[in-house]
Amino acid sequence: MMSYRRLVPLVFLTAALALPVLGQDYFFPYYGKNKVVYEKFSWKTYPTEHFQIYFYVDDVNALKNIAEMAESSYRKISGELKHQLSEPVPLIFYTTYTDFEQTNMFEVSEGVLGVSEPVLHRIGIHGDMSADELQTLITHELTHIFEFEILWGNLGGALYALNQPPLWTFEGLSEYFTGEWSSWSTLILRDTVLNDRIPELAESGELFSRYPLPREPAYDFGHAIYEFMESRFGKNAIREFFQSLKGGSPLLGKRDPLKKAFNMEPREFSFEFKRYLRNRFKDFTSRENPEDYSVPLGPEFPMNPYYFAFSHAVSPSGDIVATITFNAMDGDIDIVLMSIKDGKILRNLTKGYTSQYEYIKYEIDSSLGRSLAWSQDGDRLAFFARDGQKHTLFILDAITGATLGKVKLPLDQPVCPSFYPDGQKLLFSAFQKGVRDIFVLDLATEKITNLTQDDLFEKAPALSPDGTAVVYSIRVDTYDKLFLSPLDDLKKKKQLTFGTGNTVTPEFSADGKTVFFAGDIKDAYNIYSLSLETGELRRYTDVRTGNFFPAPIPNNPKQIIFSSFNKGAFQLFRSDAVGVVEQTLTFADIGAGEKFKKFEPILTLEINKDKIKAHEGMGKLYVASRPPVDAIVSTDGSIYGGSALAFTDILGDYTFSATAYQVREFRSMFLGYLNQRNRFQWAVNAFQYTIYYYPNSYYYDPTLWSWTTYQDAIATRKITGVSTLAYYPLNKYVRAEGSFGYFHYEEEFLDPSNLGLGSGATSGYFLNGNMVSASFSLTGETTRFKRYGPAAGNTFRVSVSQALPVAENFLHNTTLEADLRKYFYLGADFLFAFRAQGFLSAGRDRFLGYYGGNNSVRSAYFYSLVGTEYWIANAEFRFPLIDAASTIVGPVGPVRGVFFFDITRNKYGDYPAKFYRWDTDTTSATYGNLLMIDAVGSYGYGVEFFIFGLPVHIEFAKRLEWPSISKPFSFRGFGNFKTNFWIGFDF
Amino acid sequence: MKKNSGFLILAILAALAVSCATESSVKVKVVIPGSPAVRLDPYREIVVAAFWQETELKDFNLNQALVNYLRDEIEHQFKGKLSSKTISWENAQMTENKDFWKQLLPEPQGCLILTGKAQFTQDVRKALLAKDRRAIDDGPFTPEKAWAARKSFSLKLGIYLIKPDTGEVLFQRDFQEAMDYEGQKQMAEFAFFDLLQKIKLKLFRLLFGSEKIQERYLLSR
Repeated sequence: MMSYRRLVPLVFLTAALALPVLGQDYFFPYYGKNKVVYEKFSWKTYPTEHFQIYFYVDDVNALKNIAEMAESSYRKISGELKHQLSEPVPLIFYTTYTDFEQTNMFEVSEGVLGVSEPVLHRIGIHGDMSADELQTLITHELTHIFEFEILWGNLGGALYALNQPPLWTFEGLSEYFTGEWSSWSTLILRDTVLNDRIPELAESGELFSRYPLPREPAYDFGHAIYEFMESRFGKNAIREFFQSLKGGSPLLGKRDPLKKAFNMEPREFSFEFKRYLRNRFKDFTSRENPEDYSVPLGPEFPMNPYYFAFSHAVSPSGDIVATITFNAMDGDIDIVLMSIKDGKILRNLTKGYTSQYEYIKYEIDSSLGRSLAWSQDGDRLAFFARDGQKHTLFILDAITGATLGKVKLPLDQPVCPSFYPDGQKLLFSAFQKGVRDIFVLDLATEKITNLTQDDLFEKAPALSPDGTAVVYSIRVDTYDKLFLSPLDDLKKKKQLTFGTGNTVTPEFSADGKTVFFAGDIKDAYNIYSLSLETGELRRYTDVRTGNFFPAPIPNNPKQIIFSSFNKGAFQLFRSDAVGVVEQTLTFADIGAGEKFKKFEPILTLEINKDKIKAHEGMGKLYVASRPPVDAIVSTDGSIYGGSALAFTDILGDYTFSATAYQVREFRSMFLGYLNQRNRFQWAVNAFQYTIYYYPNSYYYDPTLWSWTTYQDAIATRKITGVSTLAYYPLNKYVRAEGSFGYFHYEEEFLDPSNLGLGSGATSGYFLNGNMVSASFSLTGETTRFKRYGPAAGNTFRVSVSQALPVAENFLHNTTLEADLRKYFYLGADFLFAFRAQGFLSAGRDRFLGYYGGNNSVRSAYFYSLVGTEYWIANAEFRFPLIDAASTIVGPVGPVRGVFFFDITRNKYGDYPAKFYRWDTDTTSATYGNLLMIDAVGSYGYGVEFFIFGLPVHIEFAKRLEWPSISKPFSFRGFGNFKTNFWIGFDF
Repeated sequence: MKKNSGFLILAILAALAVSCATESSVKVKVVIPGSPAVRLDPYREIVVAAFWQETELKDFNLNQALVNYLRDEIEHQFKGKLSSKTISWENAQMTENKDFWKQLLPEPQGCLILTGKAQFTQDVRKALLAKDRRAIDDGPFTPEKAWAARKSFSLKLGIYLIKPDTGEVLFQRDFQEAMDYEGQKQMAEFAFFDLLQKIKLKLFRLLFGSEKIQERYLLSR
């Protein structure tokens, strides 16, 4: 599950590729970024007793590990739930996260380790983790498959299921069966319990928290609820509770599974659960709060917009600390400089948005090490960012934030950079083909050298101040242990820490004689130091929650900076390094060939190579998602509705779709095939769609003025045809598209008699006939979106389409279109948005463009502006009013305001580029005359509010007219403010 | 044809009658308190003893699973102590052998013995069923009906509560549950727990008087 997240249905992409003029274009007016398939994987399959494993890694041992882990997980879960799955589970294994991101099955984002989906019971995972973590992940995802089948039956059952129990019932059970509490999970749990912030179980059965939590409570508190069930009602209770969720009402509360399984009301259950948690952590209540012995530095949210200190690096001068933090105002990750003296924010080095990278990388799992490094001369800061297929090292000017250099890395999940003393090289750890090693990067030549080249899981390397030694951690079985090696030979190892518990994020003292680190031998992570000369182990803290990333201050070795998790957030603290001696350790030299204890699954399997088959072609096709139901309302009051059905193969690379939409009485149908197997993607479509618009000549025809409304002049355009489309993403932001197709056009007035015309009457500019055309377009979108729509960045699309001279009686034209947008984010969700659109159709049978209404030209009626050439310019100032409101119809929000201005010019064929209107101003000297206007537009204001996820607009627009465009400031208003109501996203 | 039309008209009339009715109803949830069939409060300990089992199952120790399950589940409801005991049954009529039960425990006062008879069977049933077509690559000419097999399991449980000081049967009820499974690989052990869970709900209602939730409709005109 998302782990599943909001899947963008494949049919949307199909439709977007094929039908740019269909309804979602004006409901959801964005072009989208690209999912780039950088590599074509040679998929193979291997069957085990309960799985069909899809993989492309050549290493049979990797397949053996996956197979053993999967079957081990199956045995465990099946035995506990007393349930067997009816079909083998498709387990799709990607070697790395960046490979996984290219999947067409799921929509994954950074931080997603695995996905399981309820319809086809597929599991997708990647290998960027240690063996024990991978085992835990497989158990988690496989538990979901058991849950889906128990609740909704075998394959496809979820498509028809209305029963959707609360998330915690799923995620909690999946976590429970892993049998593992990660340090991050226990940290969250302990923090909420000790600070009396435990989420409540509502009558509806949902878990909700009154306080912000660093992650969805369904995981950790769901896990804890199942542990509570076991403790209070026995192990059988787990199975019986989940069985009791089957069938019945979609709401947990109405089905009363708690009552059924345990004879308890949700309120009573919640009370008992909280008591259980408090009892579980009672031993921690006497431990310290970080403020008991340290000076909090911050970031002091909400005094400033920076929330969390994910990772930090102390400057060599010892007076500044650089921190990776979350900028709540921008909704973005930033690097800020803070004063070590008082925590004051000195500068945001990555202010605003950039298209240099997608995001700054940081790790919630502290054991992977720092995400920032400061060069010893104090001039440069290094960090990793997601950029393109993999990652890029960025080096910033530590004062100005200017980018001094960047190096693309062909590696995965790089973390923990450390500058060499001379600043010419940089040490870090990363995955290479699924194995985590330590690397060195020569900044001048960009040459990368793997220093370890083994199958050990090395993490968090830190260089000694003189650059001769490196201290790091290795995952030994299921614990991280510290090791010391000479930098010139990492095969020589000295093990520094032993026994149970993790010891992570080592950092040398300024004199290189002591190593500071965080360790969880006392369950919570505390700060320790280890003398490399005497082996003296000293503990500095005994905290309730957790302290991480100790960093001695260079010019004041008696003080350390560390981050501590408290009340739901990481903050930086400065403390005197006064510790107690715990013990004296004796270090162990590890020989080059010495083997470490490795994690082993409970089952061992032999791989029969004959059963490994290449996975080629489509195989079976499935309905992989529930058909969406869309409904749109436009300013002319028309309602647009429709749905789509898509069939895909098991890997989601090939999609067949059928789409049907209706607006007013006009129906559109579409059949499509989309091939997303490679970076070059293509589609074949057959379609018939009918669209409508309001030809303006009749609206302004003086003889019809008293008799008709603009809506009586409705015209329809029916397009029937077949086309092929090709799509090639140049990168995540820019793509080239081409198409070739045959189209048959039929245009007519819907009811000519309304206009006083005879049956079958047509306008002179209607197009009827056949056309073969080719088109090419370039589309780019760097725009960053927030939950209300675009916030910052650029979007553009330019396209040209040419009708080919196949036959004399075929339609013949050339059409150019452009759409340029720019968003200036001012902060705190205030922004300026600009758009310029142009349309030009030339040739014998020119196309008509039609627009107006909604947010194009607001004072015009919907689709009532028509021309063979036109341009529109929009400028809007958008601002927040209410973030979220609880109303009698449910939550409404965000509520936003807008001031807008728009202007358009329009030309039909060889006629003058004029708009026409009777002068109705009785005081005017030209009263009763036909006025010719160069340009029209609007200004006004409005509000937008989101209800049930739909952006609803109520706006007040006044028409503006420019008699002469050469005098842009000689405009005038016309008429009263008109009230518009429409549903759709802002451009 | 005529018959079908008549049925259709009747169905439409019935639907209209329902839709035109002026009655409205409010659905309410009622918790029905259950009174136990036997009072367990006076007893300090329940000893769960092995059951008489007519047929042994291969690869599954039914008696052990049953005794462990009942012991664990009752432990969470019963305020006294729970323990288990292995006994060897000579025949199914041993429940009537008071002497046997009287000499079973060294300190029978305040104790109850929970035991009984268990019969767990499985078989495969076949039928002609409509084909479940979810993949579209089966082709257009595949038969619409296909033979389908279901694995059926049945559990009969006779529960006895015996007073060890007198050897009398204090409480006795028979339960029977059956379930069919589409999956032919369904393991007997897993099916056993599904069936046992159903029996537990009924048994515990009798032993502990568990509340029962019912949905009722309040009618108003």
